[in-house]
Amino acid sequence: MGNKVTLKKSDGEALVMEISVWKKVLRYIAVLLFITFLYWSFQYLHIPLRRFFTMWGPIGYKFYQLFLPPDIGYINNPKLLRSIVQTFQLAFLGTVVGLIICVPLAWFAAINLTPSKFILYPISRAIIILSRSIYEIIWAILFTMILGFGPLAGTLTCILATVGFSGKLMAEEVEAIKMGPIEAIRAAGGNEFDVFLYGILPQVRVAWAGISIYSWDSTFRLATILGYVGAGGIGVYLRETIETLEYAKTGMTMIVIIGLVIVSELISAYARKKIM
Amino acid sequence: MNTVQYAPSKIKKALVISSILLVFLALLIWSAYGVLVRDTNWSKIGTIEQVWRAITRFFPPTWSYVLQLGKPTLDTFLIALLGTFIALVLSIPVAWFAARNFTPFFPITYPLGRFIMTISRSVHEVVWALIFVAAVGLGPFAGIIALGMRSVGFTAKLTAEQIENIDYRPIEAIRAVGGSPFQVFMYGTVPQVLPLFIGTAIFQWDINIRRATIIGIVGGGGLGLVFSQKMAAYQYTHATACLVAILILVLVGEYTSTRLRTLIQ
Repeated sequence: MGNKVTLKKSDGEALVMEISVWKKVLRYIAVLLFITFLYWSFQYLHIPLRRFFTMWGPIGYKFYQLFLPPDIGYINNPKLLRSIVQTFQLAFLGTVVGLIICVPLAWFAAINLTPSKFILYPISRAIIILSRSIYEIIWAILFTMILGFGPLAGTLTCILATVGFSGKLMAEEVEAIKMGPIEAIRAAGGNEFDVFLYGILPQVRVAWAGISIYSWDSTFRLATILGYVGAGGIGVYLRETIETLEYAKTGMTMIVIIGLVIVSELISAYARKKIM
Repeated sequence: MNTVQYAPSKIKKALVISSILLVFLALLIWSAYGVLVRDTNWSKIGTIEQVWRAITRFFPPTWSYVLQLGKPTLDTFLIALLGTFIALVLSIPVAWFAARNFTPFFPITYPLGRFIMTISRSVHEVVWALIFVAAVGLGPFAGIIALGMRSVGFTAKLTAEQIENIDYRPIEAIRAVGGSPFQVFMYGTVPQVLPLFIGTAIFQWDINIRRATIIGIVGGGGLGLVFSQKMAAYQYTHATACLVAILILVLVGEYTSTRLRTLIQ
C-alpha cells in the first residue's frame, strides 16, 4: 500500500495523504470525540458546567466551617482519645492476623510452587480475589449488620483488606523466585514444607517484609474511617459531628485523622529503610 | 589464650531484634485484649445460629433488580472517568510546582506542590467525599470533585518524578535552535512525560471505579449510593444485587484498563 492513505471524496475523486498526516487527523478527531464525550457526560449527570465556577463559594464556606478554626479543644475529649487508641488496636490486630494468614496463603496461591495445584491453589486464589473485589467499606457494613457495631467488625474488615492487598503481592513474589535452591532441596529429598521453609522463605522474606509495611499503611488508613459505618475507631466521630452539624469538630477530627495517617506513614518509611 | 569472641555488634543486633519482637508481641496482646475483650459485647452478637441467620438474609441476590441497575452503573462509571479527568487536569500545575527542576519559585511553589500531593494521598476518599457532599450537596458532582482531589496526589507525584528525570538534551537542542519556552515545553518536555502520564491516567481510572463506589456510599452518587439506600431500607437482597453489579463493573473496568495499557505500550 505504500506510505499513503487514500480516501474517496463524495464527488468521486480521491484524496490522498501521507500516513503521518492521516495519523494526525485521527488524533485530532479522537481528541474532539473525547471532549464531546466529556461534555455529554456532564450533561447526562445533570451537572451544568457553570457549577465548576459557582462551587467555590459553598466549598470555601465549608472549609471555613471545618478548618477556620477547627475545634482544637475537641482533642481533649476522652472518648475521642479512646477512639484513636481503638483505631490503632483494630488496625494492628487486623493487619497482623491478616499477614499471618497470608504467609501460607501466598505460598498456596503461587502457581509455580503451590503444593496442591488443583485444590489449594484455586481456593487460595479465590480467597484473595474475593477479598480484593468487594470493597473494604462494604465488608465493614456487612460485618456491622451481622456482628453489630464495634471494633470487631472493623478488625475482620482489616483482616480481609490485608489478605486481599498482601496476598496478591506476596504470591507474585513467590512466583518470581529462583528455582535453583528449590530443585536442590527437592533433590536432597526435602518435602514441600522443606521447600517452603528453606527455599521460598529465605528468598522472599525481604520483599514480604516490605509488602507487610506497605499493607499496614493501607490498612491503617482504612481503619481511620471505618468508624463512619460503625466498625470502630475514630471514624465514628466523623459521622456524629457531621450529623450534629458541629463542623468545627468534624474539621478537628479530619485533622487528627490526617495527622495519624502521616505519622504512621513516617514510621513505615523509617521501618522500610531499616529493612531494605 | 584462644577465646571465642562474639562480636559486640552481633549481640547488639540480636538484642535489638528480640526487643522489637517483644514490643510487637506486647502490642498484639494489648490490641487483641482491647478489641476482643473490652470493646466487644459478645452477648449482643448472639449465637452462631443467629449470626448465620443474619448472613442468610443477604442471599440470594435479587437478580431481577440487577438488571435495573444499568443507570447507577453508568453513573459510577462516568464519575470514575470524570474524576480521573479532573485529577489529570489538576495534576499538570501540581506536578509542575512539585518538580524540582521546573518549579517557578522554589521556596514556595515546591513545598506547596508537595503538600498538595501529600494531603491528597493521605486523606481517605471518604473524607474528601464528606467534605464535598456537605459543601455542594449529594450526587455525582460532589463525587467527581472528591475523586479528583484524591487522585491528584498519585498522578502528580509520578508525573513530577518523571519531569525531574527527563533527558535535557532535547531541551538544550530546541533552545539552541532558538525555540521559545513554550516550544521547549511542547516538544522537549511533553513528549518525554506524556507516555507515563497517560499510563498513570489509565491506572488511576481503574482504581477510581472502585473509589467511585465507596464515595457513592457517603453520598457521591452511583451504585454506592443505591447500595447504602437499600441497606437503610432493610432490603438486604437488593443490596447484594448492587454488590453483584459492582463486581461486574469492577471486572469490566479491570479488563478494559489492562487491554488499554497493553495497547499504549
